[in-house]
Amino acid sequence: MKRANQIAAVLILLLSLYICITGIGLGYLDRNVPGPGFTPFWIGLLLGVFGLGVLWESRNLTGESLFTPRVLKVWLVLTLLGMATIAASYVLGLLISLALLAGCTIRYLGGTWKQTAITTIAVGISFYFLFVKFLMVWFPKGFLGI
Amino acid sequence: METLSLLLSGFAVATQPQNLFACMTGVIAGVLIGALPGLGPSTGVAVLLPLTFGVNPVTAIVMLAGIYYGAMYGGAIASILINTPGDAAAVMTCMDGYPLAQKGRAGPALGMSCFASFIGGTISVIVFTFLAPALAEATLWFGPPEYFALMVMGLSTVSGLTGKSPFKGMVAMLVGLFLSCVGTDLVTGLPRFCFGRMELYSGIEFITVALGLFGIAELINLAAGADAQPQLKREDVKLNLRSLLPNRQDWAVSWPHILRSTGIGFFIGMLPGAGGTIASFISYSTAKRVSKHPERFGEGAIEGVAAPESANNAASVGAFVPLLALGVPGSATTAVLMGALMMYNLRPGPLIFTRDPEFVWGLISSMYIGNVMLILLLLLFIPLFVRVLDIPNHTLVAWVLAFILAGSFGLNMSMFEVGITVVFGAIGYLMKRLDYPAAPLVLALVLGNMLENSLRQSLLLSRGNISIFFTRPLSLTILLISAAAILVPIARSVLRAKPALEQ
Repeated sequence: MKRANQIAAVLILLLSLYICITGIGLGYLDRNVPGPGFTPFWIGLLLGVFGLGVLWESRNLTGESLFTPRVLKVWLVLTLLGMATIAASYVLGLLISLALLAGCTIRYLGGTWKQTAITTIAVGISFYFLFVKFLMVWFPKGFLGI
Repeated sequence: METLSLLLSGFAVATQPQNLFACMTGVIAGVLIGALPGLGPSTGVAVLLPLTFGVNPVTAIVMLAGIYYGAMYGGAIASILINTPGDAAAVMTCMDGYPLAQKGRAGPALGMSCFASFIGGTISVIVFTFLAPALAEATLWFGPPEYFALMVMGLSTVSGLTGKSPFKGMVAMLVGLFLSCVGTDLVTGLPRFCFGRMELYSGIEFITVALGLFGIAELINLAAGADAQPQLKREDVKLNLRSLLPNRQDWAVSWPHILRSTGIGFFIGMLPGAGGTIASFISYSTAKRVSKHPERFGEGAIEGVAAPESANNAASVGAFVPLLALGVPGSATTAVLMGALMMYNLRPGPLIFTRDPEFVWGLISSMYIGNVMLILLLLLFIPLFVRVLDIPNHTLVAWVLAFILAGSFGLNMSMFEVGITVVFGAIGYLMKRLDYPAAPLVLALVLGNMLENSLRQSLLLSRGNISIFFTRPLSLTILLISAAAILVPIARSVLRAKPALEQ
């Protein structure tokens, strides 16, 4: 946990540096009143100060790891499934992609094939009626025209 | 008298069929979400916000408010039956609720949690009815410096009080403020931090971020199995209307605790950053301290269920006071509600009482109706609500994940926003693991633009002279409170760290 906290603190410091530099570039003052970079500059500066606080605080932490292998796997798989749904929506359409996302998620998390099939179909049908028919949300269509 | 006539006109709005239906849908959804371990009111409101697309603003907010206080009721179900709090505010209910269930008194414990929630909620709505308009009137003369100071106070108290480390709370809040800067600058029209992406010119929608941070991050947590440890099977509990009613002795020991905790809860709910969780902790410890039999607490004392439950419901109503009267949300859930209000072009703040009386009084009246609906629904259908605990985690995660992505797309019909939700889901889980609280980030994202506008307006008024914030007594007082809210937790953290380092 100590290493993870230190890495996070360094990333925060880098972000604060970026915000400060970009803030100044945007214009700190405009005819003696705050310009578009005024607020970002102060946000960046304060972020740096509190980022240093996080770095200082992390000295007390113990060395336990941030993720267990299972937790890391679940985090990565669910994030990748979300990304894959976005990519698949351009080919299959969003409705089918969401149904597949639900199916893949339940299967990955230990659902049976029967539960997977039922969930995939149920999500597809219920989302069609709820979002497309009832809430009038027009999902992008795929090559199947759905 | 004027308040009462306005309240009656509010009842005319709230009792319109579509609003009654929205209120009922909201409270039922809220109870179900609150009962699910790991999913709290902020997740519920954020996830179900897409269901209000296309609905008129009053109906939409009535439903979302119903989800909020419904979730507060629902949190107790899992606490009592499986010793796993439905949300953070229900943690203290586990202390005596679960031992009561083990002694075969799950029914009275659930019944008392319903009655205590109802009494706490209803008394608070009555106080709210008279307090909020008076507070709004008193703040009508606030100028940009006072508003700036108020928002700084809201952000600093939330950041200082939530999470384990005040530094991390502040970092989360500042990242939220930075995200609110993304988009076209309102004064000069210059794009800021857009990286050439047209989608970012209008800024980052707070809902897409909230869906990721509260929704997806919680689902990953649920899927990873961190919070799911059922210890009592539902079959062990027999529930019917008769078994839910507390006996005379239960009432006799609980009454004073319910009334006291309602007062504590309402007051704490009004403070930014405190909310239902702290209210239930304080009310439980107060109840234990003043009790004639403190040794019974933790062993299955019915008043140990009554106190935190009345407090957390009173706090959920109290949280509406700063939201509606000042336009400054004090918690994650009210921040999401404020974002929803702004989505519907309703600007919370002192003027909302005169500008949109139909909305405000309709909402307040719906709270009275919602509380009555909740107690009736819970007493009649609690065996059905309890069944939600049987839903396997994998089914829940699959459905809610797909729902979140569909809702995120539906906001602006943009796949880019779905991407933002997924990315913030992944970041949100990392934040959770590293103890960075999500609430200050979302609150800052909601308040960021207003904060920057009032800052720049103030400095325009004073021609760049920063003393404008310190020469006006009210803004100075509020800023001093804000400074204390930042410095006190940091000083405490530093002092705590010193002995640890010496060892």
